[in-house]
Amino acid sequence: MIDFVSISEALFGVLTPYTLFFIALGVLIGIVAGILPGINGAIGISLIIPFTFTMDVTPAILMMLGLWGGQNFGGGVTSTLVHAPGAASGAATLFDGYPMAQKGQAGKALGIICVASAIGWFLSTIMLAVTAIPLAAFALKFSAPEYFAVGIFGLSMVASMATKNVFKGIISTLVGLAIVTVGTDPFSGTPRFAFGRYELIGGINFLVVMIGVFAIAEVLVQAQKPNVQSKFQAFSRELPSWSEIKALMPVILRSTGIGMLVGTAPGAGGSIAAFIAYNEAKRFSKTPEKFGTGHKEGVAAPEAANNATEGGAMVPLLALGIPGSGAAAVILASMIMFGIKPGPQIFTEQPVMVYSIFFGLAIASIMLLVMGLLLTPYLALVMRIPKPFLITGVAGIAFMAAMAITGLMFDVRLVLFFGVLGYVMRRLDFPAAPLILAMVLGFMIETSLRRALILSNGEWSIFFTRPISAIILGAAILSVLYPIVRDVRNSLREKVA
Amino acid sequence: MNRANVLSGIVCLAFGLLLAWLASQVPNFTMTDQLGGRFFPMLVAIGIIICSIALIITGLMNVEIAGGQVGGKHADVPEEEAEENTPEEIIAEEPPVLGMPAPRARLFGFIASMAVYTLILNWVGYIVASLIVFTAMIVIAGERRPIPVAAGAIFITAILYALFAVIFGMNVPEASLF
Repeated sequence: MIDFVSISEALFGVLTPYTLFFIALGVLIGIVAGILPGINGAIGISLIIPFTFTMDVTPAILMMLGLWGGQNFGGGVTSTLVHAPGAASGAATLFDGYPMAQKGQAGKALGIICVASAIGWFLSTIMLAVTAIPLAAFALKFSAPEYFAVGIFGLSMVASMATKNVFKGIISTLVGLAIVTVGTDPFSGTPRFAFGRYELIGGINFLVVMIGVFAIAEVLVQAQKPNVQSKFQAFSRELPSWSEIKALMPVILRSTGIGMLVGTAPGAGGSIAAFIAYNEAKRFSKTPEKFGTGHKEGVAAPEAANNATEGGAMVPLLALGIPGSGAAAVILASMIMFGIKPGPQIFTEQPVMVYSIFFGLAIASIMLLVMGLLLTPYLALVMRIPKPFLITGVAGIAFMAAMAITGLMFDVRLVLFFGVLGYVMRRLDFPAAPLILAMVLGFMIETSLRRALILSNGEWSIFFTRPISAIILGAAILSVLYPIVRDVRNSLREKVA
Repeated sequence: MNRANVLSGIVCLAFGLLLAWLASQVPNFTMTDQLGGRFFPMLVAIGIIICSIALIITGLMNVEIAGGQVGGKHADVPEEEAEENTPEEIIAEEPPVLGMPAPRARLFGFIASMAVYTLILNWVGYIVASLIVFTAMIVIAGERRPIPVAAGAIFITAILYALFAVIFGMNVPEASLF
């Protein structure tokens, strides 16, 4: 049944100047973060968390969600103007965005990026509202075995998809789960791996780890590079015409669908969606030979798709409490920090929050359209900030954020420790996102597993005799085993050939 | 042989074994929960040990088992590739620093600066520690003109202090040395 009281309460709450201001601020910071090379959604959101401590819950969450969408757009701006994406999600925009800029059509390219991003984001929000509610209603049937299965499924997908080496993805996940076990045993309340340090009794805060492996690791990566300023492409202010936008609508709508679907799958983020949408746009195009030469469809497709992944990623996050990417994990962690528990119950226990997220995302996409078209030429100037100041500033914010989270100097040192660990992981191709996701889901996985085994008197068959749990665990096992079987089969075929 | 994979596999194996040993030390004494607090970390440790061995073996065979690759070959476009690329000639032109390549020197310089920052924050307080360390970091990152360096360090310190300590009322570390 539609809860009109909650819907109207959410709508009026979101439409207050206070909330609108923070949504706009989030989108603005997101655009800037996206434009700046190296600052992705997860880093941006991690760094603004301390600023949200004194804010009301709804504006704080909406500001973070606004940042996420703004960042997806900003990445494409840098791709177009300097031939290097500000964020990975903008990488596919390089192929046609930069050639357009070289042809003197940078203003037009930025306009298409903005419109495609805003439409992709807006439509994916509608799809989120349509799909998350029935999924959550279904998930209400879940108990401990199903929650354990869902948690494992989320981790297995993230650990195994889009990683260069599946074993490294799984090891990252397991290290994240190991970090969660530090502190206190959730069942007996006795200290576990605290090593006599009072700072560890409460466990290691996942925000501290996030800031380390995302922000500080990125600072170290950037510090290694020489102080060379990117060549900034001068650009015209000519925007795309209405007829040009109308002609791009089929591409934008198709790419939005792709982005939404890909975003729903844990582990597949904006960059993957953008590349798939780009390939599909080329396949469906009447003029595929123009792709790569500054074709408008090649700009619209990846941008609509990467923004649509946000709506897609919010479906499992809201309905099941499962984040599908680093940025989604930070959002989930922030929600938990604010006392919101995403999962099927949120739709019955905190419906106003859910509807506020729907309305907030829709409004944020409209704000992105306005701000993107009006402010991008000015915001793009942040690319001219010299790198030494930029990375020192990011490091400064990261340490300040660590101080704000718990106030313990121990945690500030942990940020540095996890920063160095994150840097080493990146150099050795161990993905960081599974580690963070495992930290966010670890508590639920351990408690669900142990609770289910207590219920079944230690019988592991409980996970395979309940149909939903069995199907989800089966899918999780397949997602890990598939790449291994595929590679072994391929190498055997090569040997035979 | 993929040396990086073999070595990282050995390090992960050592971590898995250490975790297993630590888990075995966790007391196991609840009446309602036969599994106890050691059960889950032990499970995780076994997983790490198995995957580390797999990583070592595949590394020795020089085999890289890639993930699911949702989007075909494009799906695993590395983020490193997506980042700004520095021309090789610029890297080659950089003179070594303290006998090591300049990029590595900058990396160690940054880590050392940050380590010093976390150590001196409580002694000299946020403002002094930030001014010293931010100056060092800006210089290490490649800005050598004294006025921009000083202005940058002062600006970053001031803006962060104003945002966190003044506007949000956060307690920043104060000097205990003076």
